[in-house]
Amino acid sequence: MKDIDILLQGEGIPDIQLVTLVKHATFRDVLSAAVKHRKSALEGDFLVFFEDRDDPCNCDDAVPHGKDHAPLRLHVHRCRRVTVSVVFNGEEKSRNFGPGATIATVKKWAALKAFEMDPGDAAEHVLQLSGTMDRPSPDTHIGALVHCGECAVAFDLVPLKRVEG
Amino acid sequence: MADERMRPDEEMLRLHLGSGRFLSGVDSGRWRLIKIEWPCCIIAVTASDGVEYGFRFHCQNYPQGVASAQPWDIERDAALAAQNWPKGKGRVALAFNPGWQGGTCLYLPCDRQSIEGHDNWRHEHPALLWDPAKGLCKYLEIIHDLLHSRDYGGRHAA
Repeated sequence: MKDIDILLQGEGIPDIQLVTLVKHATFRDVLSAAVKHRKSALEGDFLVFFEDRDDPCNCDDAVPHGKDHAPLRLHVHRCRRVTVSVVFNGEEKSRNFGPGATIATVKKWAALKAFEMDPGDAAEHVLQLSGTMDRPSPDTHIGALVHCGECAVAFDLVPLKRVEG
Repeated sequence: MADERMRPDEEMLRLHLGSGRFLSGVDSGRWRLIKIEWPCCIIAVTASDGVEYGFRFHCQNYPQGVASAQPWDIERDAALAAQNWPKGKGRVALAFNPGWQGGTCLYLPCDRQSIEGHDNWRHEHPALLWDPAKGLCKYLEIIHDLLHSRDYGGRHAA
């Protein structure tokens, strides 16, 4: 059986890290690997989440292999939930997500459900971190954008502009 | 004896192409590496209709140097004929314009050839500028976004 490839994101971890664990590794080994990728030491109890799932994994469970050996997408964070608020046309909507929720998932909720756009209009808008010009990639986990103590992140849903002149 | 050490810019390109961010795009079917022919690499990006478009990225002085992307025919290993460029309206028609710079680049702020002479783009489109930290992944995300936008009309749209 092959080793297990993981695309890891989490609190204090820059970008998306490729981590390889030996077969029969547990989620506790994922926590250990995450420590090595954090930019600074952080205190507290960390949890492992699958991408886009709300409930954390049991640390003693074995890490499964990805389907057809595709990498697993995991997230390590101290927050169990992240409160996401999105502003569009002066109106704000909020919802809690697991920290492993992707920007794509949050945008789908915001554009299609919260602000009731049709799919065509939704494709012409993007999530931008409030007060910045940063537009995280669709596969970025929201937990990678927040720290424990806050467990919240705010976006604006902004239209994509034409590049002219 | 020839010095066989890899140039730092080529080394950085290969590092980015092996990064978690690039592999995440591969894993989700957004793009895939075709080949590296330094100082270029060819990467295919998948559009919303399943069509794969090749792009030949010129990566001299990567990642501090801004890359430039030319639509590329993967099978023929040659520049993509104008009739086969992505078609559409609005943002897509503007970005994929075979008449711009002889079809050697995309009309986007993240492109080395196109940003020249467009200083206004630096404050008009800050989110679309080249970012050395993200390198090709950001350029690929911008292309992928265009090929999944409402303005994309397919390969042969009128």
